Amino acid sequence: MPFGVIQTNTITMKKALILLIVACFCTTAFAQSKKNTKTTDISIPGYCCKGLNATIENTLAYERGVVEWTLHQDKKSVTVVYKEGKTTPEKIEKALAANGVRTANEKPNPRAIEKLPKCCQPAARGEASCGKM
Amino acid sequence: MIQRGDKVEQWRKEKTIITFCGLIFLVAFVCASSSALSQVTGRVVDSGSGEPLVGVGLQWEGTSAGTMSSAEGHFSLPRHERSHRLVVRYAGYQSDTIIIHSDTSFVLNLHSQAQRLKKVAVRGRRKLSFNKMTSLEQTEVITTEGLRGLACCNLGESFQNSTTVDVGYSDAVSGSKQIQLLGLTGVYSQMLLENTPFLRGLSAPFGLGYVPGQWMESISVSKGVATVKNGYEAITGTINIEYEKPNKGDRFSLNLYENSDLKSEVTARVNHRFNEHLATGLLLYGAYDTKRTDHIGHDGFMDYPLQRQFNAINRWHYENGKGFVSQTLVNYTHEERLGGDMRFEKPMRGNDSIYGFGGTTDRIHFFTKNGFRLSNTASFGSQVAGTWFRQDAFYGLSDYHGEEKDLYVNLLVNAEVSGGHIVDYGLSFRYSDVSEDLYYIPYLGYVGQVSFADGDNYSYREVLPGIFGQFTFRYGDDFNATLGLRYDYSVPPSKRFQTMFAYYANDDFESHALTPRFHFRWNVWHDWILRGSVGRGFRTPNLIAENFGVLASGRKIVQSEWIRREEAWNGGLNMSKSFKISDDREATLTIDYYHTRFVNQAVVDFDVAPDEVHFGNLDGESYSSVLQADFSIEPFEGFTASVAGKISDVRCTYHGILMRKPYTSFWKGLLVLSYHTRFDKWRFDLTTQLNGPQRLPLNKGAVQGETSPYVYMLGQITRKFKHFELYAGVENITGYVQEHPVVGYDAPFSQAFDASIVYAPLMGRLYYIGLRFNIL
Repeated sequence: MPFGVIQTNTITMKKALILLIVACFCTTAFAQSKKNTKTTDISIPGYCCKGLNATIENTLAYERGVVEWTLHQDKKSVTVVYKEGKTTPEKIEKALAANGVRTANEKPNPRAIEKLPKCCQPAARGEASCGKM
Repeated sequence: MIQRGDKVEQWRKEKTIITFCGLIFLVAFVCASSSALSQVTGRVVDSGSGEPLVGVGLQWEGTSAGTMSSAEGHFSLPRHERSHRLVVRYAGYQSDTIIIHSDTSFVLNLHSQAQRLKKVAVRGRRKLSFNKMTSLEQTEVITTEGLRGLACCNLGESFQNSTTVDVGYSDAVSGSKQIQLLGLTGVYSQMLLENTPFLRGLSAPFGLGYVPGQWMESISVSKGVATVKNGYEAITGTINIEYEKPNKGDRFSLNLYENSDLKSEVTARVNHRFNEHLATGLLLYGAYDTKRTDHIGHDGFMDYPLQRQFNAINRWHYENGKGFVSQTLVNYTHEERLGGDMRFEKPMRGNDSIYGFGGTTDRIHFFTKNGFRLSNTASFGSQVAGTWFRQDAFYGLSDYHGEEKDLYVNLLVNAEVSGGHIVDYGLSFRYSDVSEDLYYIPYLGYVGQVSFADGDNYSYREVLPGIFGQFTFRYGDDFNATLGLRYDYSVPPSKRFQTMFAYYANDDFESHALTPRFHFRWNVWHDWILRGSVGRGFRTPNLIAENFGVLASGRKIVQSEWIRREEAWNGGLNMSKSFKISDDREATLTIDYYHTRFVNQAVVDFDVAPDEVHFGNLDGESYSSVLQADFSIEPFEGFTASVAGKISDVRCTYHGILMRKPYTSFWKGLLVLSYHTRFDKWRFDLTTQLNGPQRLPLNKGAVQGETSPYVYMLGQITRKFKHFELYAGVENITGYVQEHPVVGYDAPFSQAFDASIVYAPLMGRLYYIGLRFNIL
């Protein structure tokens, strides 16, 4: 039969739904202890303009184990404080590369490069260096 | 390594070509202008559409000296002693470097990766919707960001944050939704899919459900008559939908949705690029809703019909990098609906004790768009679109069968002439074969015309060649105006296709349609922008499809005359202004007024008697006046608030009396609040609509005259993770519903039955959750 009658207790359903929502949205509350943190400097040779800041910050913000970071636009690098055991500098570099950011050791994902601001794209491809900004 | 070498090589080649083109330009312009300029001046435009590009960065290579293009794309900068290479950069466009050795003035064509296609999602500045400040027509754009904050299962649910477009149900059994623009039903506006007509004719009534929300990249709503390029329709406005492009979209995206009425939806999108020229995309959508609910009225009728839909698109994108762009799309939709009595099953069709509604629709739609550059200032484009549509439906004892074949061809040339003015001209052709057969028994014991299929068929064939041209005049940055004219010739039908429409009968056939349209945009003072438009429009009505709601009632259809083609004039003024609050936050204010006046209209009169509906031509006045104001502000980072209000006065002459048009809110208010935390990890959206009273037509229900105003609220929370996002929300938070939408539910086969009087939501509070996942 194409359309069958499905009988469901609505109240139970609603309860289940609410529980599910609560479960889904409460996973963020993990404590951030400053213990066991390490600091690494990641070089970003393709850094050309401020437009790349958002990509770098958005990547680091969603990276597990990353505690905080400081961008050095003049030195074309980012200093990342991370929790040892949760992530490694290699993992962080890989994550940046996956979002189109060229680092010292990782080549960026070509599809992600297209989503970068125009000024950063040639450098991310490794084609040319960019002018002073 | 080899690959990268190739890329560098190609990049160099491109650079050479671009430089070469630039040089040709330079030579041409140096020859043309004898006066010595001290500056480099010019204009940056999109190479495909010729639209000016605003905010394009121009910088002398290796220096910090530079400028940005202003409104209308103009720029001016002093030459630099150390650099001759001007680097041009703009988000979404290929960068360009031009060598300049003398003072000059030129027009620079920048190539978008997908030509003619607007990229709407503004990175960095995340807006839910915005008013296009630079466009000639007043355009409100609902972005992907805006759509993310709504559950928006389909197009019909995507306008909840917009005051411009109202959405209502056509009746209480079919679940079909209809939009209103400027207080008039959506059929007076034009639906476009990537600038080609779609969802017209018989697709219009259920069509909003054929456009899944997750396929859409953006929706642009323009008020007032459109330019003459897309036909003589579009009287009250244009709604243009952009789907995801295969050359830009992510490799894979998935959306899962489930609501508390057990409606499930799956959307998947796959894109593949073969190389830098060719890309293909597959968009899939499935919806399944098999739970019968009767919360509203407890009348034994389903609140909402059971629905099953399968919808798929395959599209191709090709560009050769030298200005040729080709896009082709094929869409197949299959939909089944079943509604009416809670006990009704499909095999009971034709049963005269249990009322049922059912519908099966199959639809194939395609378009192919091809465009190339004729020269640096001219381009040619062709659009071919076609639809095959078949619908089989029943409302109680009445049977309906609709079939449509439609082909549309549009050829257009866009050229810039001296002085920066623009000329567009072209040819169009439309072929429509529409048949609507109705076997009509509104109630048991009905005496009257049962079958509309023999003789006086609600069918027609339209062969419509047309020619059009428009001239866009520019005066600096601050004023431009477009005057367009089109002429369409309707080929008179052979006798075989004589129908109830006078328009298609040989003796009173109107072959000629002359459509003038005028638009202007004027920067009056400090970016206070005034826009205006006026023009004429025509339309062929599809009586049954556009008034499906009638079939869900015991009302008797009375038609005493042939219906002529509809004709109307529309004019309006709009004032808008953006205020900068800080570097990346702003406030916008928009106020507009539009007036539509019908010369002829297919009038549907419910007010003669509560158990009758009269179809006829307009005899007297019919108009719509709408005043609207919108204010949107981002007071601090991450928080946006929009307030809007609208007053409508829509009246039509019904059997000699000028009355308010039924189901049109006298006023409407809207408050949209949106907040997102840093990096978009959490996002909260809350929309509150205040819907004003509406006039109800004569009916047999308990509510007569004016309805009372009501509040409708919806909210959603979105949590973004590294690879996916989760959302949960509530629709109709206040739970306000129409108490008894099915009048005479205890006698559905009598004249007392009427499920066509709908003025408030038909769904109570509804919870939903969903998941979005994508691979770049």
